[in-house]
Amino acid sequence: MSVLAQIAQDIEAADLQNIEAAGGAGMAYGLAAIGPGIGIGYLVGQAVQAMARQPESAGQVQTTMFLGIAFTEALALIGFVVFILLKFV
Amino acid sequence: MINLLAIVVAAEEEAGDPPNPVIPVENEIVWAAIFFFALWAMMKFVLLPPILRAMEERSSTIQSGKDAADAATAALGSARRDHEATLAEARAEANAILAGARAAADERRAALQAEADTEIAEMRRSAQAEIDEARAEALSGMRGDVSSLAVGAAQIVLGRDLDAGNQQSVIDQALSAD
Amino acid sequence: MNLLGAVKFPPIENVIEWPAWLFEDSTYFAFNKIAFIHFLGLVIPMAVFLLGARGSGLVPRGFRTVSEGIVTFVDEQIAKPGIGHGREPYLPLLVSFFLFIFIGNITEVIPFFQMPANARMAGPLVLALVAWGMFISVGVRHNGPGYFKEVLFPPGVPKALYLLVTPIEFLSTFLVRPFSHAVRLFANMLAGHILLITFGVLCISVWSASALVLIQIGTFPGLVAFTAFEVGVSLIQAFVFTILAAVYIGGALHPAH
Repeated sequence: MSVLAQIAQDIEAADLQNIEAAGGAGMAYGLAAIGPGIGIGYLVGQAVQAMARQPESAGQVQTTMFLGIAFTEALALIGFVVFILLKFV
Repeated sequence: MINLLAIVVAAEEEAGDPPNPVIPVENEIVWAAIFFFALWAMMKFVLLPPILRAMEERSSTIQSGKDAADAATAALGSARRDHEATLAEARAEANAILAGARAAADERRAALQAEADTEIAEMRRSAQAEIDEARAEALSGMRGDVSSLAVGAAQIVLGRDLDAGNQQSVIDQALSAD
Repeated sequence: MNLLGAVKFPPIENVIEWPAWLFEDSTYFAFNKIAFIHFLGLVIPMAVFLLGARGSGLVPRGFRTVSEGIVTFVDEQIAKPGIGHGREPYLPLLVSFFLFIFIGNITEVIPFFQMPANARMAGPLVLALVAWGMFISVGVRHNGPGYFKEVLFPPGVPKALYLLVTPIEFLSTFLVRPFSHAVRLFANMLAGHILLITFGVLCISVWSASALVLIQIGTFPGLVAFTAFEVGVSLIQAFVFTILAAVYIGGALHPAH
């Protein structure tokens, strides 16, 4: 307890908050990007396969693909918002 | 640990109220709403209808042109069908006429043939009759001549008169033997 | 950032908040750059469509080609897959969404603006709330109060599962949907804006003429490439927001599928 108190006296409060915020923000965004990264890769890969198999339905597949990307990406973007909130607020 | 938390809380209180980039700001909400609803209303009542009407008009013009073309194509088809039907009718008529003429010609030829046949048969028959008659005549003439000739020759050979009447049966017998 | 010496990332409020130009004292009517971009989002479509409405419509040219192209694109690519039949009444809303968002996004890469209006939460929030109110009102108007029953108690689910399904459906359809709809646009544009600022900040050493000019080799092509990328993102986000609104409205209009 006394060691912690010593450290707490040495570093300024603002610095501490910045360190915590930056670490937490990087962690949050890094974790949030994993799932959507896998998801978007899988989604676009499957869409390309579908388009290659049936080029005549490419337009429909593309529309659906953008929709799917939008839904998948939302998770990463919420992670990004958390990043902003942690880092800058 | 508690000290650390206390420091963080103190720091937050010191920093005051930093602007939060995620929380919307009133004036921007107001202006965005004003301009968006204005755009929506304009789009609904002023901007979009003439464009849509023009597109509708164009597509209906194209559609009516296409319909007219279809109708013309259909008319062309029916005209062509009529033409073909007329042509077929004429051809059938011509064929019928030709067949009739051919049949008449055949009939006529057959009639002529039959007539000629009968005529020929008639002529043949009459010629045969004439021949038979002439032959019979010649035979009967020849019989008298031959008998007198034979009797004369026999008289010369024998040196005496022969009763022609007696010898007649012999001569007849010889002649009919051939 | 301190490792780069002179290069320092500006505080976030300096790059996304703008001072008011007009009505500085008013809380609700302070007119700043963001409001001006939204104003352009009203004026530019108006100008294009009004100029496009002139002249004979049989052979499109000029502004008419542009406006008809926009309408055809929204109708064919967004309204038809999203709503299906009976989409005509919602075409003005979708066209407004698309143009308003696209203009709010594309100012991200236009000099002297360099700020996407949709990187502020206000615009996306208003638009998402409009879409939210629209799909709920469409659902109620076309299916009566049964619309809520249809959404909250989807048919073909065992009775016991309603304990689980109904709260989830309520949250996802009526609470999370407008939120995610707005955040998707907002966060995309904010991320793009911060990305461009990062590369711009890394490029600024060319003016300070320090040894940091070496990092220009990497950052300047990056800035150019990401600027081009953000043009695409502006279009795609406008498209995605509009098609999601169309899908929500379509789901409320024909809840059977």
